[in-house]
Parts: sequence; C-alpha cells; structure tokens
Amino acid sequence: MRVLVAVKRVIDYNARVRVKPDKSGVDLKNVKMGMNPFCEIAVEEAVKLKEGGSASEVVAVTIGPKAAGDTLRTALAMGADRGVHVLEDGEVQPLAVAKLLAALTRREEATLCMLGKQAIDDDSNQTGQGLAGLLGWPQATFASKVVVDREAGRASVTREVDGGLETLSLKLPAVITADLRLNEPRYATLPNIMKAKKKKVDTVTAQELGVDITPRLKLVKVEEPAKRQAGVMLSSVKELVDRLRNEAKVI
Amino acid sequence: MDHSPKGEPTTCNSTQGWSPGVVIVTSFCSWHLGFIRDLEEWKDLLETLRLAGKELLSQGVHPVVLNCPHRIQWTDSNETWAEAQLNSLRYNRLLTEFAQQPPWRLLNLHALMAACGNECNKDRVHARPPVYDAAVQPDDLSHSEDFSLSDDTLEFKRMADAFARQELAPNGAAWDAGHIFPLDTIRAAAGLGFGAMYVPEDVGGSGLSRLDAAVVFEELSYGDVPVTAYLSIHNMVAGVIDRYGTPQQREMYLPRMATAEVLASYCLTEPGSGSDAASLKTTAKRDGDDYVLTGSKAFISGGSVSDLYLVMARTGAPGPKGISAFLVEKGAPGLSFGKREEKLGWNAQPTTAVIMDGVRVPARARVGVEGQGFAIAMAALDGGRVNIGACSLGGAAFCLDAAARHARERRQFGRPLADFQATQFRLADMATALHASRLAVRHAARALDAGAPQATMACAMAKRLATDACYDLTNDALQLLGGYGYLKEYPVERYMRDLRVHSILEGTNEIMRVIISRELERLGGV
Repeated sequence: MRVLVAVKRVIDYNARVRVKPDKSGVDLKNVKMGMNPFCEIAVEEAVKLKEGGSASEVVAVTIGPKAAGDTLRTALAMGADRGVHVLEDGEVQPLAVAKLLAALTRREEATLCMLGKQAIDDDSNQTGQGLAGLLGWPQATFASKVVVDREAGRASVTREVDGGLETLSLKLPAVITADLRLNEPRYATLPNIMKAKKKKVDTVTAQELGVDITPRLKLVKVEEPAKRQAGVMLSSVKELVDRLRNEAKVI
Repeated sequence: MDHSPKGEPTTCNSTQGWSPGVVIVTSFCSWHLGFIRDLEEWKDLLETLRLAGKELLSQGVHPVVLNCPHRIQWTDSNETWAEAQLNSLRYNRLLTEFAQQPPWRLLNLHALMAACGNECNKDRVHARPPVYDAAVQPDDLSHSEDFSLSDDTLEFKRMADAFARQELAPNGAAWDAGHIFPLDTIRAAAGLGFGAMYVPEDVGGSGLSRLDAAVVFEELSYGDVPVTAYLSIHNMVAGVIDRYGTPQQREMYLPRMATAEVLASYCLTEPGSGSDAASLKTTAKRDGDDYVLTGSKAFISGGSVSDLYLVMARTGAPGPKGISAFLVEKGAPGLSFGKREEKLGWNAQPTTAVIMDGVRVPARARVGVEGQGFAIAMAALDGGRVNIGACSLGGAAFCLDAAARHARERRQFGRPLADFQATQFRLADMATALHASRLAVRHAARALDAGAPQATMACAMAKRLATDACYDLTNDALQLLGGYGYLKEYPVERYMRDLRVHSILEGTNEIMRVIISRELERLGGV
C-alpha cells in the first residue's frame, strides 16, 4: 500500500505574524518558516503505518516555490521514502492543491492520502475534503487515531467530537486528515537527515500534471485582529446576570 | 465569572448540540487562580460556584466550566514541584466531580482551544511583563549568518532548534534550581545523533563536520547552556578516542558513547595546576602490563555521573613531554569523587574532583603513545574551545531575543523601551557583538575542518572573543530588563550565570591570549 502524504511550508507556528502595510497579506520576509504542524503529524502517522507494516511506501508531496524543498527534506528525514515537489511560485488555493494532489495520487497509484486537517497559515481546512471529493474516495477528517486493516482493505478512524469519540470505518482507498492528538511527531535524527539527501525527489509543475491552478478566489484585504480589551471583575452573580441582560443583551 | 486578572474572554464555536441559551465560559486555568492556596480554598470556590451556577440556570443561563489542565505552584505556597504535580491531579479530580453534577458542565479548555487552532497562552494573564519563553518564541535575531551554511547544516540546525525549544528550554530553570543532571534528556539527544557528532558512522557517530557541530551546539544552548556544554565535553572525548584511540578502544567505547549509554568527562586540571596544565602532578606508573594512577583532578564536569574519564597523567619527566592520556572507567578500584561543588551556574551538571588512589588500568587503556598525552589534551581543547564558544552564542542569542522582546513590550514614559535611542543603540551593539562572535566561532570550526595551520589560533581567538562578548551581552540583556532581569522568574540571569564560566574553562581567556601571541610568533604574523 502506497501512502501519499502532503506537506506544506508555512510561517512558523510561533512566529510573530505581521500584516503588510498595504493589507495585501502577511509579511513573509525574514520570517521563520517550517512544516505545518498538522502536516508533521500526517507524516509521522504515514511513517508509523510503514513501520507497522501496513504501508509499503510513503511518498511526500509539497507544492510551492523552491524553498518548499526544505519542508520536503524534513519529511524525508522523518522517514518518507521519496518526494514529489510541485514547483509553483505563485498562489495555489485549496481547490488547486486538491486537484494537484488528485493528479499525483492517480499518477503514484496511492491507496491512502494522509494530510493535515488544515494549514496554520490560511486555516482553510478544505484540501483533504476537496481531494476526497475529486477522487470520489471516502474521507475521515480530524483523525485522532488511525488503524489500518490491510487485509480487509479498511481503515478505522477515531475523531474527537464534542460529545466524545466518533469512530468511522472506511474502505480504502481513502483520504485521512490528521488532528492534533493523533501522535507526537518524531525529531529527524542527524544520520537520517543525511540519508534524506540521497532520497529521490521528483520535480513537476502543475502544467505537466495538466492541472489548472488559476486562483478562483480574490483576497480583498488582510487585517490585524482588534486589540483585546481588558476584562472587569464583578462582585456578584446578580451583577453579572444584570450586565449580561442589560448591557451585553445576550440573555 | 472569569477569574483572570484581565478577564479576557475565550471565544469558541464548539458549542453545538447544547440546549439553546447562553453559555458562560468560566476559565479555570490555574494561571488565572493565583489566589487559591490550597485544596480547602479550592473546595470553597467550587461551592460558591455551585450556588452561582444554580442562580445562573434559574436565569436561563447554562454555565460551563472550561478547565485548563495547566497548573503551577501557587506563587506563595511552599509546595515542591512534585507536590504541585500531585496537587494538580487532586484539583482536577475535585473539579471533575464538581462538574459531573448539574448545573455545571465541564469542557477541557485545551481541547476546545486546539479545535479553534489556539493554544492556552499562559503569558496573557501575567500582570508582570511576559517572560521570554524560548519554548514558544521563535528567535528573530539569531540567524545572522545562515546564508553561508549548506542545506544540510541548515537542516541539522532546524532539528537542533526544535529539540532545544521543546525538550531543553522548558526545563532549564528546574534543572538549574534543582541541580538536576537530566540523563534522560541527554540520552534522548544522543538518540538524535548528538552524542558523537564528529565521529564517523562506522562506530555509530553522526559523521558531521566541526562546523555542523558548532551550529548544533549553538542551537541547543539556546534552550539550555549547561546540558549542551556537558554534551560538548562528551563529544570532545569521543573525538579524542576516534582520532587517537586504537581500533579496540574505538570499538569498545564509541558506539556506546554515541548513544550516551557511556558518558565521558575530560580530566586535565588539578588543584595545583590550572592554566599551567603541563605541571600536572598525577602520576601513572608502569607496573608490568598495567599502569597505576595516583593523584587528583579538579573541577571535572560530569564528575561522578560520567562513566568514562579521559585522564592526563605523568608517565615520564616533568613538563609536557612526560604526560600520557588514559581512559579510566567509573567503578575502577581506587577511583573516587569529591563533593559536588557549589557553583554560580552550570547547575544542571555536577562538577567534582576526581581522585585516583592507586587506580590500576591495563596498558591498553592508554590513548596514543607514552608522552603524547599533552599534545592530545591540547588538540582536544582546540575543538573544545569552538564548542564552548558555540555554547556561549546560543545563550547570548537567547538573551538578545529576550531583551529585544522586552524592549518592544515594556512601556515607560508612555512609549515602548524600544523607542528610546539608548535602547536601540544597546540592542544594536549586542546584535553586532553576537554576530562577530558567531563569525569567529564558525570560522574557527571551518579552520579545524580544513586542517588549516591557523586553526589553533583561530580557536583561541574565537573562544576568547565569543565567551567574553556573549557574557557581556547577557549582562546587557539583564540590564535592559531592569529589576525583572534580576529575578529568577526571568531566565536571563540564569543564562548570565551559566555563561560566566565559559571565560574560565577550556583554558582561561588569559591563556587564550598566551596561545594567540605564541601562534602569531609561530606563524610569523597574521
């Protein structure tokens, strides 16, 4: 079973996010970048599936400019077998990403697509769902536990929902997106980082894959969130209820 | 009912499936509850809330407890860290019991926040200026020379950085305060390849260059200086065994040193011979197929916890030519350790005397030939100086980041400190000093990799410059933080204490000047 795992290069999850003065987006100049944390979890799970014997090969895919190759290397150092880099310098929106991944899934004849549930830069949370739709495959999003039964050709996926845990059973091939508590991603070891250099990375373009990635959405503007206001301490529940009713008008 | 001092609302969209009406979100993150001192007060508060909840329900409001499992020691309690952990469990159990009965419902704040893509931000509820926390802050100012590093080195750097922030930084303060030698963390680091970095792969090493190692040590020391410095000494001894050891010695020790199953210390200094190391008094007398070692070594990092000691001892005439190097294993009869020295810093690793009273080692425990010991010791120190310089860089980079952030956020006279030119100039000087130190350290590492004739001088210069400049930088950072810088709650003072010794060990900075001037003479000028 071949697993295709998608990784995205995003602004580091701890970096201070600065909006460009012209409000056209987030300033990415001189900002620390790294692999989207949910993608790291997806890679870890894919590598675990291989180590557990459920998967035979893990192919990591990234879409982006040359610098995204770093992210691919990280995935290879964590244990992915080879990489595919879809070289695109411009904006690639979630639908286009899903289309590119669908084309690659078919080309690589993958049986399972592992993705992060969302990327922490645009928080779209659309790619996995879109990919499943385009492929016509079952999907399990926000996975907190994944068990693959290779012989039965099924995957059992647990999801954390408000009321507790929900377990889905889906027929492979399928798309699974990773939630925060699926696993704790490993660190790549120094020897594995060096071995990653020798692993194969194919470079393709959207054009070669025959995918139209023209943006369908137009970004109007990006703004800083409003500054937080300080709270107040109230002396009694009565006062709280009064203010909720008469001031905030929420009761 | 928000008990945080600022009472900031937590918004969340995961309330579907509940009965209609308003949900009050009550945050129980213990960071918000600094005024609760013990379980009794906690029970009182829960009782008050139970009554309040009933009243809320009667008004059509569905109260919800949002519990944040974070809890620290209350600032004015005497509980130890272990007690605090235990008490956290007790608090959470009481809360769970409380919330199992109407009218309250319990939700895990972390789960909810994670669902919204947020994390519990402990800083938000601090009335004091936020503590610069390497675990959650990226460094903006410590990548001044990245463009000249190879892709491989950058990847090592990224990994070391992640390890430092996640595994070292959050624990540095506790290790310092508790004088804890974190063996598990050191083994975890070795598991990633940090145990024998510039030892070849055939004996389990990582096969990196000195430059790679210097970059890695810098990143690791950003998270914690003494643990990284200990690792650097361990690596130095591994480097000696690799370069001068017999095939049997390499096979016997290096695979286990790479995994940190065997930890190593370097023993040159004696109570009566520090800077004048060649005058050392410890003797190794040949006795048949063995040597018998007698004497004592002082200020040994890792003394008593290390498993292997590289000991320089006199086998011949006075002076450097009469010294040989030996590998002495812990447990050897006659080997003992002094008390753990009380130190200004470097508290996460023990420093003791190593005392040898007729310790018998086989001749095969000698490293190199008789009389080569001092040359081996000095060659090892060339690399050790790069390593310790790199450890200074990381500590200084941390303090620069902490100071820069404080300057942005701390307001006095109506504007951020960073708006004052005095602050800007100080930060500019600090960044320049760090950059210059970094260049010197990495250049010395490159000189070692290249086997350049100037390597010894470059190492001495880098060590002299980086350790002094970086210590000064930590002191400047402390000054910028003002009174907060002097508090142990803020990590800068710890980094300052840890960096102070770097100007003393691996050859004092006065000895560095001796070496530099001697090398200048030898090389016929620069």
